Amino acid sequence: MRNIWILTSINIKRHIIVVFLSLFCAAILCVILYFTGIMVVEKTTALVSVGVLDYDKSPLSEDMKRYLTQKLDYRLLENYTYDQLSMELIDKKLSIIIEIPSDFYSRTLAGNKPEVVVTSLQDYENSAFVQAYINSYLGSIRLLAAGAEGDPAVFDRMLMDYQKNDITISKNRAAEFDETEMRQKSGFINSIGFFLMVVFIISYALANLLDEDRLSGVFRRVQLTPVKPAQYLIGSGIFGAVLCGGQIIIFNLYIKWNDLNIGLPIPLVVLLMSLFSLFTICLSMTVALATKSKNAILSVIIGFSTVGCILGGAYFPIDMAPKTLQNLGRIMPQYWFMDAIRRLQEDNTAVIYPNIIILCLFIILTFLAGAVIFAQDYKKS
Amino acid sequence: MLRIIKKVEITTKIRKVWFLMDNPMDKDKPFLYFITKTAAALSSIVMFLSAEAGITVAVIAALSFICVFMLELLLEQTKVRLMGLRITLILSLLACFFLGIIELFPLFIVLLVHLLDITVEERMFYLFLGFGLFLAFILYPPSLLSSVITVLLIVLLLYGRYLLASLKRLGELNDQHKDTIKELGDKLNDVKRLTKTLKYTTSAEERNRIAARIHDQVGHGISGSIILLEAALLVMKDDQQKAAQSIQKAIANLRTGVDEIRTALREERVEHYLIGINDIKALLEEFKINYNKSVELKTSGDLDRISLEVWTCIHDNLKECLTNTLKHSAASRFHLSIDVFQKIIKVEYKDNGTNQEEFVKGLGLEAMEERTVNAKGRCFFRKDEQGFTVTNIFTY
Repeated sequence: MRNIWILTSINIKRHIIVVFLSLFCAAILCVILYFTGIMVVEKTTALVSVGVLDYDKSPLSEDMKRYLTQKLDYRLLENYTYDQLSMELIDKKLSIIIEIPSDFYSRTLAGNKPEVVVTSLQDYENSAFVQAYINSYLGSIRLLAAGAEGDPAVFDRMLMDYQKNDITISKNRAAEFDETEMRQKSGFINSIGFFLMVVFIISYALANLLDEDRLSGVFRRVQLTPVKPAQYLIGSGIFGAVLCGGQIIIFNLYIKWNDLNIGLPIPLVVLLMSLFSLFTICLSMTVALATKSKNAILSVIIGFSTVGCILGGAYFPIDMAPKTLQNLGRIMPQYWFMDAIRRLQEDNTAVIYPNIIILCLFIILTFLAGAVIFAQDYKKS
Repeated sequence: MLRIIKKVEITTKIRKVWFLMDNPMDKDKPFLYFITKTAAALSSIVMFLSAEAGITVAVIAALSFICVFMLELLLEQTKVRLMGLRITLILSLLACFFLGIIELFPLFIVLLVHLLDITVEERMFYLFLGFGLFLAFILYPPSLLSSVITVLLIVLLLYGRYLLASLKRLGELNDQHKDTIKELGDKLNDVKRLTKTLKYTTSAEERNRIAARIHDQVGHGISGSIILLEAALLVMKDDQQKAAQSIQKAIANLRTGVDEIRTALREERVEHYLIGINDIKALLEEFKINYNKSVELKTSGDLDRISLEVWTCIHDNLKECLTNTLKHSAASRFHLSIDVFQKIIKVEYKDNGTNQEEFVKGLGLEAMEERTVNAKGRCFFRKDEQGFTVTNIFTY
């Protein structure tokens, strides 16, 4: 036990940069939690931007634009060319482009339906809504035009009266939400996704440390001392646990300190994060024992981290992905970790024991794999 | 006595176990089974999904099985491997029954094969396996997908076993060959040492023999002459005639001694043609052994007529030809003929090279020509389908 403690403290002293890296990563996670939450809220509650090309510039077209901004809360982008608006649309900064034709006023006055063109690339839902609103507006205006019987002066007067006779539209949100709560929950779910990436950086550092010890002969020198190889490995594992533990503590203290409503109890978050960290520690030790070069370690860990996080839904939910891909994701521990977090956020009373069991099984599996490789190497040596 | 016999038996058993663990088949077999069982466990997820069972249960079951299989691999490194393996296999089989043998049918069969492999003797293995498979398929008829997966896994597993057995056999053969090579290498070293010793002993013996002959035949004569000369010196003043007789005798003794030395040296000296032909034979023999080529030497006529200068030239030219044969000809056979006629000596160096390229007279061949001219001879080169030939003609 004393040897293990000595090895752990020596590792901390020898690799103080890695310790600082771990703390820095924890700080990064806190920053991500704060900023991504804000970003998500801004994105969710922002007004829908619509580009307008008004070729008519008549009182009627002005009235329609007023209807879109004041009544329907759209943000209109005017005074741009079609090419500029197209670029904005391609960059997804715009939802749709509305083109008001030059004969908009005259055709409406004549009792015909004008050709208002609505262009959309992806936001078809919003496009359909805008089209419906414009049709509704034009339906009302056509009634005014019929009343004016083609006389522009009468039509303008009737339009002005119509504008004065403002009909109040009562608007209700489809879903009520607390902006702060949403910011905190979204920030947490995003930062926890990044945690899965960050913890693999620590894992890589640990595997690299073991590999360096092997290449520089430290491991062989340790074998000549009363310290047993297993003790050396346990010492290195504890060092990894210290690195990950520090990260977990800082991250959760930040949540606790700021009293953030993340939607699930902090002890459960700590438990899940600890289990996943243990898994990465075991994995890093297994990889370090199984591979022969630093490049191989980097490839395996980064490969597993990236593929696992994508398939496991750490960066974005995989509910929309094909069923086969979703099933493939289920053999990744990242999936079960994220699944537990998401389910707990949705329902605090959700049963996540299977997820915990699966994470534990992954830990046992990687630990046993490392033990098998270690036993074989030890027997050979 | 019984105790000693028992102890020896136990030691032999332990050695046998460790030997089994060290040979490639028994080292790789657990990995083969691990991979097959893992594949079967993962396929069980598909089976569970097709049976519309929960994915979580399937993943937990598969992961638990894989953990147990990994534990088995770890047990392989310990002394309780067989016992531990049997226990884990039986527990895994029971778990298959408990969790649903229909969904876990491929895994059940692979586990059964593994259990049979470590329990039944090799010659009975296939018999038991056939019987076990037959029973399993009759008692728990699997779905089509399950049957296909099972058959595929079994075929791959048995093929893997076969390959490992072949590997083991080849490994053993390789070990035997290594032993033979080592034995032959040792013998070769012994022969080399013996040759060296024999050379040294022969030369020492020869030196001793010559020394003894000189001592026996010349030493006594010289010693006698010294005594006679000393006697002559003593009586020179009183009896000059007697002194002169003694001196005459000493002179005769010394002359006889010198004649004997000449005779002895003539007898000991080796004819120079013998030195030359032996040198050539040694060179060819060395070439034959080192490069595994067939060599042939033919001589005719009186070799004693060949001067030392010509022997030197033949020797150097032969070395050059042998080098060229190795470098350019890709020949398998080399032939050297030395014919001594009445007025000329003809030496022919010939190989059966298959190189189709046109030969270019390089530095080596030019040096050969120069050497032959210096030894009052001429040099000719010829290349045809039969190979490459160099002919030297010397006059004497």
